[in-house]
Amino acid sequence: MHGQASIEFMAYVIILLFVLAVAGGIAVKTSADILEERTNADAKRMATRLATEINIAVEIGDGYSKTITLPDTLEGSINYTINTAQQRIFVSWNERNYSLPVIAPSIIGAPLKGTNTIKNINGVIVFA
Amino acid sequence: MTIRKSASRKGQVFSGDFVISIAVFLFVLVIILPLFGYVSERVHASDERQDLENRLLFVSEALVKSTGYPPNWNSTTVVTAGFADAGALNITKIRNFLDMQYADAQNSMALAGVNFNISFTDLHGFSMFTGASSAPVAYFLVSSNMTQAHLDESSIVWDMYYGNTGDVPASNARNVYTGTKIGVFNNMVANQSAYKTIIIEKPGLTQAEVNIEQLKNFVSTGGVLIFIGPADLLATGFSVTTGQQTAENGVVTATADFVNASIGSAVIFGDPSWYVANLSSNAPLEILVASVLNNSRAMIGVWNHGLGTVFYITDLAGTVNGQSLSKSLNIIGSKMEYGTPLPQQGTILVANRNAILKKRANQFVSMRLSLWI
Repeated sequence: MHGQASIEFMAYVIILLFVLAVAGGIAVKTSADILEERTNADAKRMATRLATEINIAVEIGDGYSKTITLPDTLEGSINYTINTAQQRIFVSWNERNYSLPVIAPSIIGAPLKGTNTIKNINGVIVFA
Repeated sequence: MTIRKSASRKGQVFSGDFVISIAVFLFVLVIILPLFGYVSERVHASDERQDLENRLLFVSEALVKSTGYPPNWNSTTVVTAGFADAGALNITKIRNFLDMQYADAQNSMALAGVNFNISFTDLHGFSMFTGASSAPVAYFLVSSNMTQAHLDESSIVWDMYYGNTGDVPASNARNVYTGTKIGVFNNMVANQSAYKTIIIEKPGLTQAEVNIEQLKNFVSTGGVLIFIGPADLLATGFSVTTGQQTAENGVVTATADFVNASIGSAVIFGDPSWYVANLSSNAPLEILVASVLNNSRAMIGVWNHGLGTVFYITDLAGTVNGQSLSKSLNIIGSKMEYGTPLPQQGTILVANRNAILKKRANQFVSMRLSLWI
């Protein structure tokens, strides 16, 4: 019966490997989903923060100045771009994009990764 | 766990362990996966709601505080919607927004895929309309009732003051007052504080017959008067002069968000025997449809009197560019509401923003933006 034991053992190993593969696949997929969710949330948070800063600069008026820092990546690894146009702020990453309208009638310059100074000069919002 | 070993089945002693361990593992996996999915779904829903709240905040703010893009956008050129111009909401932009396709309106607010409903009310909760009238409206009529169809078609709140002894016309008026025309007219102007707009259609009354001072007071304190027909009642004390002429047709000289026809369009009236004109060269009358014989005479005109506004229409029975004249005038206009009807169930996020709406005169309004997935 030694032969039978080996076959059964092999069968159990195969079943275990299969279960492991399925569980591993699910874990990888879930992990990717979580990363995507966190990246999306991070991008939206950044857009919200920047839109808030722009709206505050408009509301406070001429002479407003504040320094803000934007991260180099989303979630520590995902590259992104940020732009302002058409009275909106756009954040793009992984072929996705998100926009929020802002109340600034005119914006000069664009926010960059790293340190930015946002100013209100005679009603015009300037990024430097 | 104890496993009995058999001398003849040495190779299978751990089969039970394997089976049980796999079963336990699979059982735990089956429990954990849906649980994880549930938690994940809840987190996603929470993020989605947070995102919707942010959008509601920024979109509602941008609508009442920004010009939109391009700054003088219309329903075809709009990229980003915004109703403001020089610190007040621009009625033309709101009209343009009401003309947009739903998907275009979503995109213009950065709300692709999000259901919305947007509405404007005055500070008493009455729905706003794009035309000259604001609710509540008092409508005085004797025998001619051409304006009534527009009131009935709209959902504006209005009361009928019927100065005739015949059967009261069927209507959807909130209240109906009847009696002699002098009595009903005086009753209406006595109730003026209940109204934002008074529409008077062919009253057949003179100033001496009625309490005209109360009508003057209504306008000078901010009311809107829309007067149709022989202008005896406006003869004195309303900042303009009135007169009679041989019946003549007119030509559109200005639109003022009231006449829906291009400048130069010919207007053919049924009974254009009355006109209003400026008392002096710097007087307030804006001529919208001038007499073809004398372009200083307004057959349709508008002017400010005190804090209020008067619209004069010599006759509603007529045509402009072959279209019905009464349908070409923004007496009531469209209800300032757009979007999907609010659902009966589910989560709806709502933002209210107060602002000033610039029509002929500035009005305080409340814009309500509702969002849901």
